[in-house]
Amino acid sequence: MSSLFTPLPTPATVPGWLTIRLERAALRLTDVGAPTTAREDWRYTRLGSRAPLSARPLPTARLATPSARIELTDGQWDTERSCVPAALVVTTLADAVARELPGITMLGGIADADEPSLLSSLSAFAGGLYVHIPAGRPEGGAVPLIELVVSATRAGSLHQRVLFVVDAGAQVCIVERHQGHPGAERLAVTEVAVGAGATVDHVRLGLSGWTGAETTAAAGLDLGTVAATIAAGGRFHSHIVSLGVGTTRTAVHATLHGAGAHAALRALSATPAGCSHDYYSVIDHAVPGATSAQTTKGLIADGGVASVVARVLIGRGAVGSSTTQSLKALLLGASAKANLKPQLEIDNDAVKAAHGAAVGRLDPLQLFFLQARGLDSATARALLIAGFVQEVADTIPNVALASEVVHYVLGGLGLPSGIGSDDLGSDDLGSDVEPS
Amino acid sequence: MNLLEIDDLHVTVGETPILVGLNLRIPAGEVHAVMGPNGAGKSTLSYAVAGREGYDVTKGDIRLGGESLLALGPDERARRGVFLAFQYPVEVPGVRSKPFLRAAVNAVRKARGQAELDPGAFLKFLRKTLESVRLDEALTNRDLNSGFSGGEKKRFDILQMALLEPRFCILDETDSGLDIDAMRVVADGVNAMRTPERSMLVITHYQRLLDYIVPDVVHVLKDGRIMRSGDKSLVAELEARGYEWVTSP
Repeated sequence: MSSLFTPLPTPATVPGWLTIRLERAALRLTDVGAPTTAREDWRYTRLGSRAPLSARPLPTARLATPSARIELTDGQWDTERSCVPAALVVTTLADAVARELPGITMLGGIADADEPSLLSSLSAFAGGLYVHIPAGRPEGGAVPLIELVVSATRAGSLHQRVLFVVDAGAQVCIVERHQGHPGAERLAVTEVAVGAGATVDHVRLGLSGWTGAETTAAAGLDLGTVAATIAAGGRFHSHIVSLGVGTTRTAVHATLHGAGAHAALRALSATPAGCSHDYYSVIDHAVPGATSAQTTKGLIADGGVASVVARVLIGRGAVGSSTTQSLKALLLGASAKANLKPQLEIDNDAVKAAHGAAVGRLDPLQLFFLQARGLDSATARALLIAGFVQEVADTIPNVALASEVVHYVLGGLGLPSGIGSDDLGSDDLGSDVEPS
Repeated sequence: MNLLEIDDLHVTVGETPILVGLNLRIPAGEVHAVMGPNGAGKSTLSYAVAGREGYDVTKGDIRLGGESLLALGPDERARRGVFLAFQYPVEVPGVRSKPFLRAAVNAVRKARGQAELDPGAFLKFLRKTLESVRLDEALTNRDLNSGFSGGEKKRFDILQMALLEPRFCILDETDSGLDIDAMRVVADGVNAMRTPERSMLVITHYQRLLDYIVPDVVHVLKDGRIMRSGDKSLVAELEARGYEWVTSP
């Protein structure tokens, strides 16, 4: 684990602005060191020794055909397996820095935090990817869907860094799949620069330990960070889905930089026995008149632990801000554990804010109701659990992907999947079979 | 021939005995009404038959078609043909009504040895049944009972009853919260399901529901036992005199 937080030397050939950032990051990382539970923002993430875990079979179900598919395997861009249309600029961060591509100076500058993951990842930027999404829609008018598949084929430490630069007025849906070897220790940082009036849906599917190969290894780590800056009138919708085996921590830093900017952060986790899933979010209302909303839903199996710390920062000058928070966890066993911490830090009075947190178990009356209609216990539970996650899944703009997420969640918890899916379209009258 | 047979039923909830020696026989094809004061054990009776956890049968037996239900879970009882229309149908946010209905119908059909319905066949069946209870299909696109009015919930329960085609139906205070028009619609739906093979137990406080669903036999449940049974004229007597005078079986 320690190698994840050891800064690499600053390359000699980078421009001045990046040299300053890299050197500052290296100094700060030396100062703060690898994260421990002594840090408030890492208090629920235990990075110590972990029991061996087996890989989970990767489902074959996939979402609708993406506009672009980018594969990163073991930290390297796999150009052979990637498919990128001409309208999209995809290249290595090193190349983007050298060519001074649009928005590249956002690299390492989106979240100004002493966050060890962000600091460490920056020094390993060279192998990362730069993706530029231009304004306007392609022919046909559909919102482009960019799929980024980040795979690990072996145990050991991995750095991945991606910068998405989304032009003003553009619309895009980005799906990241982080999957592969259960013994991999990953530190993955995604930065998103949302241009003025742009709309970005970002879905991060945390599937660490899900792989096509049968493998058992000392459980790895999946430390993911998504940092977004949102310009005036921009909309950033984050969907963090944590289904990994082992220890995972996903952090989202969203900074609202312009009036009318909006951030909606949603998180969904299904935590199996022996695993821990942590979600940490910070929304910074840096200007007046921005809005935000956070919804988290966690399902925790017996012996699992899920933690959520959701912060909102509204400074003295950020008048007219509006924010809501709803954090919920469903305990599926006697020894399941949830930590939910809504945290509003508001320094002015002209703000609308609401928050709520609830930890509970499946409602026995709802279970009885479903069983009294003939559904067996496992199916009734699966239906209620699918219902619990549906609120978040429904916010994913791609219907096929939303169904896939519910399917993964139920499958990951060993429950029958597909039961709650709505395959009954109003005109679906394909059969003439009458009930007898 | 009796479809439902209840012998010397004792049920406790927590430590509290609620039913203390209840006996009931309902022949196939008959509708029986159970009336009684608050706290008499009417809902306990419905939950005990449907198999709700926490309603512990400490003595006696409940048989459907000669088979004891006591060792069966609520889902197994439902698949054998027991249907409980809830006094307060449960809201289940997030669970879409239509897939739920299809899953329930297919669970019951599978148990009966019938082919499961594919989406197309189910939709045809659903639409036909919706007409019979005068419900809009739009309701089935919403989450189960979520945001439904009181009347919609009750009619939705009757829709489920019609879809599942049970052998034995319990209507637990189905009239509560219904206006006269809604009660007529619900009663019409129930009456349409009366067949020589199907029996019903209608639990109610008031005469008005029984003006629409006319029972073959009326029972008075009081202090955990059936105290009196009679024909429909017993309802009028109860309306006139209350329950105080019913003091022993």
